[in-house]
Amino acid sequence: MNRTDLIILGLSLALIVGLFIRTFHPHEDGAYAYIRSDGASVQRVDLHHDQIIRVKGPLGETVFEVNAGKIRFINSPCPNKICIHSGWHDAAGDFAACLPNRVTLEIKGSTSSYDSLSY
Amino acid sequence: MTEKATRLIQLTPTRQDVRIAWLAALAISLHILESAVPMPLPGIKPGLANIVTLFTLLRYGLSEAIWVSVIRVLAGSLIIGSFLTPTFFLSLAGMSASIGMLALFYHSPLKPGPIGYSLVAAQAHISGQFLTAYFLFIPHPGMWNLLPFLLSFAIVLGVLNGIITRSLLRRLQ
Repeated sequence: MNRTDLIILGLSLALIVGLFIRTFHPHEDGAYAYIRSDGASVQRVDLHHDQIIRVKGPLGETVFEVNAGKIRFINSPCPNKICIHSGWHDAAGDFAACLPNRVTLEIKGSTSSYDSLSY
Repeated sequence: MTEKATRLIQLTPTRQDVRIAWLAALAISLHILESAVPMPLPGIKPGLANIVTLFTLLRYGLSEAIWVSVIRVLAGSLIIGSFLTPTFFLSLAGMSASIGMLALFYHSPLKPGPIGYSLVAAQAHISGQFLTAYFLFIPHPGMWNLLPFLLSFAIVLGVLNGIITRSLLRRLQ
């Protein structure tokens, strides 16, 4: 390994560290959350308006809390409470779901884009 | 029969042509072998075919390395059956980015060793593939969360491939 190799390795590692920091501190804050129940009914929630949202699912009521630009599950009638443990969501592109109650939460930024394209 | 009618056009391959064919065949074999090995994360591959490209670059020069890479992607995709599918375009994008960066370093006054070249190639390869995947197939902001993980693997596998290339070059000296 010569000196150029070491410099390349060092720069690569620095790049990775930078990218990891950027990834875990996303700077595009979400503006809206879309809540879907049973894959259908879409509720568009403004994240800058603090509120409590209740959504009906097959098992019962899932409750969301919106606070200062972020949103979280605060109650849901599911056995594992994975949705509640996922915590606050505020970055555009975040996605969380309570699968037993068939409720999903998706955060969107100001620019909307496609999920995927297929040819 | 006149002499004119029996004359055949003879293409005599040079030593260099034969060498490129052998190296490309080796790269294609590794490429196919890899496509059969299941990997834990999508988008991650050991990139063993890249060892052949690096070896060619360091021993025979840039133009032969370009030939070997281009033949590998074209012929490899024809054999696997992915020619002109999304997989092929990802492969092509990765190869072009990788060989482009190798060419840049090859002509620069910096003189990287096998490990440096391998690192550059691996990261360029995954970045080229990632950008193609992002802009052509999955333009979802969540994709960017995958990039640091992909690049981490690229660094680890890049160093490993570099070490393999280095010992290969030493043994064949």
